[in-house]
Amino acid sequence: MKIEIRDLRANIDGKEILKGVNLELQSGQVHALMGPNGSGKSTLSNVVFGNPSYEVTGGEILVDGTDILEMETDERAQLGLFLAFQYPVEIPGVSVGRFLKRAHEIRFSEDTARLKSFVKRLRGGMDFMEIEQGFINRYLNEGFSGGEKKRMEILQMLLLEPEFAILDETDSGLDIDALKVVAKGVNKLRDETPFGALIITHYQRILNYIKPDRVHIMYQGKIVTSGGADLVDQLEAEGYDWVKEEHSEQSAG
Amino acid sequence: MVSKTDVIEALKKVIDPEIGINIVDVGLIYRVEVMDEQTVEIDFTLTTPGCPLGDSINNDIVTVVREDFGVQNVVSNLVWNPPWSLEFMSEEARLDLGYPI
Repeated sequence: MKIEIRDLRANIDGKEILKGVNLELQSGQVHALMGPNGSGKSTLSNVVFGNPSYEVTGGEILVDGTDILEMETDERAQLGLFLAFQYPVEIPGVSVGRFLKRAHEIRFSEDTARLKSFVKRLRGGMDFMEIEQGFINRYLNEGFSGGEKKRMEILQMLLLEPEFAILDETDSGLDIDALKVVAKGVNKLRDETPFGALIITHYQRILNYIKPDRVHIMYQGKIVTSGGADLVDQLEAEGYDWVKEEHSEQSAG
Repeated sequence: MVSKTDVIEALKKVIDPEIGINIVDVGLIYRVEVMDEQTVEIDFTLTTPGCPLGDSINNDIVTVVREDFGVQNVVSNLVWNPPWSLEFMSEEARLDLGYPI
């Protein structure tokens, strides 16, 4: 799967947040997206998945050559796109097992053999993500700790095997053990399936466990710098000041 | 001679109309015995005694086994022991209905 984001512009509440984002992503590659608070990273992930709170005012998002901007969120998901939420929502009344089974049925509607093995896959996935089996019967995310919610997002991702996933600050609020489990899940898909990801993060920490092929820095609604993994070290050492100085809107008038 | 497994698989075509799930996954089939080429015995139950669907499910069972395997004598018995309980339902069916597994 190839995702081409071209000159993407988007507003929320009339305020322009994305000011011409250009980014190329694809299955088989993991990219990291970093940048100071308020630079538009989460807006980008929301717009890619069609959150109706955001208004796209220009540009396009092509998935394998087809513009997805007019598609509903579920249609985008059925293409093989996946978003791991920064703040996973609680859904009282819908059990984890029921939710995942239904999502799995929609994703793999053609694959009877896979559908038949769902419970086995679910239990295996939970063991792998170090989630107790009893969570199958709990309501989705209701009363889960922050770490449990994030692990649940990755469990969902493992079962749905997306071709491309955006992980929106999945690492925030995780202790080191939970972070390692999350990274293990991402790396499993990366090793075993044609999986690609965009990892949105503020911290180098997760990128020590999931090595990015490319790193992009977003600032004031644009991708201002891209590079290899060494860019992460530079950010860790120097912060974002140099980015801000080089790319401040003021210098452009 | 038809195998027990084939009969059970065929019985998945019979849907419990109240639940919308096939009677095998609901756990209504207690016993399937292939006696000879012309005779298959089946014990089945219902989720609650007095369930008005007994006759309809019984007919469906007999029809499916006759038509699928050309078996003449399908002996289908409605039994109540042990009483049906949720644990008899397959895990998949329980997830679909929102019951714990």
